[in-house]
Amino acid sequence: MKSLEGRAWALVSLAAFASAFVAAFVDDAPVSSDPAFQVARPSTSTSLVALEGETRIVSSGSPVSVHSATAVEIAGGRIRAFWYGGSREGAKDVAIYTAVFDPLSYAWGPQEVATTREETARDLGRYVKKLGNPVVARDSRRRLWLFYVSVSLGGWSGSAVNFRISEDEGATFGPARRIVTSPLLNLGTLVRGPVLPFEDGTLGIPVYHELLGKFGELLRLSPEGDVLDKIRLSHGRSSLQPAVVPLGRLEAVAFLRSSGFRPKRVLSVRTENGGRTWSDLAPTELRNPDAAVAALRTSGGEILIAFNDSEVDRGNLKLAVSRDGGRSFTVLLTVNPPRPPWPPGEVASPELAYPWLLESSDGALHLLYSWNRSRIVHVRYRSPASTGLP
Amino acid sequence: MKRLLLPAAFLALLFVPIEGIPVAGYVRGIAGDLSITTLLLLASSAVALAGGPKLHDRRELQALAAFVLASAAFLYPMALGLTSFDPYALGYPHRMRGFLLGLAPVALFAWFRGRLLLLLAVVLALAAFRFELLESRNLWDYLLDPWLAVCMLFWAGFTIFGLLSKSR
Repeated sequence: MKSLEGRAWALVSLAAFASAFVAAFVDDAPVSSDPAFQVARPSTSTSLVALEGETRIVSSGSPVSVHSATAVEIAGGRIRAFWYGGSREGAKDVAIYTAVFDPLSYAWGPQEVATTREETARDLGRYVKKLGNPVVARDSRRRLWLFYVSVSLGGWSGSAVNFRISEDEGATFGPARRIVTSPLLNLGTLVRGPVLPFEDGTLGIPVYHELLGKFGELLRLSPEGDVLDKIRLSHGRSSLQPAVVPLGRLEAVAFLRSSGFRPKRVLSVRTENGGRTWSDLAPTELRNPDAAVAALRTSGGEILIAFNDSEVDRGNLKLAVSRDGGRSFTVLLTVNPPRPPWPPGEVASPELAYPWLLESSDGALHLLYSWNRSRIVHVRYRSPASTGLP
Repeated sequence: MKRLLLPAAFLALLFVPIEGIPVAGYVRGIAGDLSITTLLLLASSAVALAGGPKLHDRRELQALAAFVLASAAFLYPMALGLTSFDPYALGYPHRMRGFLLGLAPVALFAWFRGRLLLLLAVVLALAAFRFELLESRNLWDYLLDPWLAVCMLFWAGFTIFGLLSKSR
């Protein structure tokens, strides 16, 4: 017969694990578990007819190596861009830089450091070896979220995603926080594509995994920055850097960089249930040399995509439009590289890489990309056919 | 008490800052964070070392190792992209329910068979998850980590090897 002590222990332990289960069951997240994408209603419809581009250099030329631009419209119709720069990719001195574009003076302000490796390490209480891709988003409360990659161990496959929030349009940022997205020491997750807001105020963060496998995922973050869910966009070892374009409340298409996929085409996956499940990877008609693409749903409802039209290199960058939800594309234009005010030695193998697209509220389209990994270039495209333009 | 000196000195060393980050921060940066289960095992070892009761005898460890190794085999390959199904996502708040239904039989088994260590691991992991004690918001990270899985694999290997050589 069991002792009294034994019975007491049995009861106490049963109560403990019952209450632990009940507590974990209680879901106090004030968000919907039925996801629906927030789709912007057309305000100023941007015409894509006879686009005229005006080119500006965003970064100063120092540090010498810059890459992976991201941008968002802030108050007053201004545009704030971020990118990473240092003595070389993956160097310890790589920091995230920022600058602001004023559409009235039509000029970029001076570049500033937004965050550094040392600052991130201090905030996280852990060693950080290097920084990588930034992605910026502005939420419904007008806060800027700066997501960025950090590596503590190994190469890019040892990446983790962090974020900092700014309440003043990106002038200053709160402390860095790390998002845990992988059970293997949190290694292997990177950001690159634009953030996708959900109707309930949660944020969809397209990320990709680059440790053994190469595939896209969508994180769902609460307004406080806690991961609520993670959904796989693809699996296997051949797709990276998803750019997700919402087509309706429940429909979206994601375009992914092909990395080892044959044929070498921009890849796509689709959802019809708010991102709960996604179709199998399918190639589009657009060529892809294992390079990032940018995609955007314009206020006119078209999909605009910026891509390197090659299977080999990133020597050209083109804009194409789709009017059937990303199933077929028409090339609109080839991006003109900037005219060189720099030494001729620098242009040995010009590369126009890592495009970022943005439509501002004045109806202009903005393309940012890294030119030869030495300058961040901005092109503003406007059409004489668009309304409200000078 | 003498044998506690070395662990205590080691612990103190972890808080020494180098370039603004404590030594523990470098260990964290490279080794990642430890799960509640690993912390529980470390704590129970420390208690035993200090002359207290030993929580982890072979029977207890067998149950825990079986749970950890089965979880690791289920979790890690698919989390690395083997399939479109992602078991790691089950540990996030929005998918919690299925996970808890799977975990309940484990805890019930541990309770019925009196495997205190396994039961404590599950209950403490759930409580820590509820109070968001770790950086992660994923229940898996409270239950296990790769280091624990590797240790349990070695422990299971040595135990089986020991049993086999004894039976010869």
